[in-house]
Amino acid sequence: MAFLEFIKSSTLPEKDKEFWVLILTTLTEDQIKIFEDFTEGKEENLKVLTENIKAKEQAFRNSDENALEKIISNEQ
Amino acid sequence: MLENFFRKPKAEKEKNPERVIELGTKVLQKEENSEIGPKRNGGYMLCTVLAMALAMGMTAGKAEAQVRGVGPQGHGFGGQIASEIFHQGVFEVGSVLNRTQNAKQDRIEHEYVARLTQLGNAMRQLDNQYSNQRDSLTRQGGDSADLKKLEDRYRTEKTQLIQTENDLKGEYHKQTRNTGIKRALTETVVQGARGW
Repeated sequence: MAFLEFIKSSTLPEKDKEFWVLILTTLTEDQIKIFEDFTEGKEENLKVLTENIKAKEQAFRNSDENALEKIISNEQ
Repeated sequence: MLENFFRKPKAEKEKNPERVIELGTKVLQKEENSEIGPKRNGGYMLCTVLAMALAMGMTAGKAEAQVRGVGPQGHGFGGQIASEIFHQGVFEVGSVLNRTQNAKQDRIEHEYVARLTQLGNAMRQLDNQYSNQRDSLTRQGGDSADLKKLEDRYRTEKTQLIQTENDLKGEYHKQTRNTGIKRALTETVVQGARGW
């Protein structure tokens, strides 16, 4: 619940908050904990995660290998 | 708003699931082998699974289960989810992944047989042609030098065809061996203990 509250109180656009709410319904508590630890309570980290998921989702949807390569190389 | 954000029509979601899984496998393996710290790595890997799930219109657990081909014997995070889904009766053990691999195997097999047949026909045709030419030359009173030239040409062409056949067989075994390695690699990933 703490992570959900963190998301809701963030300055993310409303559509991104709704996006996260749905994501959280698909995850177990352990999985949510990974994201929670990842963000370290920092909104900038939450934004990185959000953009990462959205970008990958779009790349997968388009089967765009080049876009995925770019995202991964930026991660590293 | 949520609907517009990522819930695309079913037809679009299912446009190319095999490709999404193929890409997902590649991305996850790359992230697993990356030097990012375990915490960050786990975070990004989870991002990948979620992104795939959204793109394919399925749950995150099912996406991971399919991309890894894991069953209830899997370990850690992926195996746990897969096990849960399996017991709910909706888990398809890497079905799409297997289908893709089988299709690839079938295609390799089909092309191999077709080319092998083609080469076999070419060899038979060459043999018949040489036999007919030799008879014809003999009938026309050709001398041993003429026959030797004809035979040399035949042997050169036959050797080339045999070499092509050997190359083809070698390439086929290489391709099928690689497929085997890929499957073994998948098994290793599936069976390996997961640290996240």
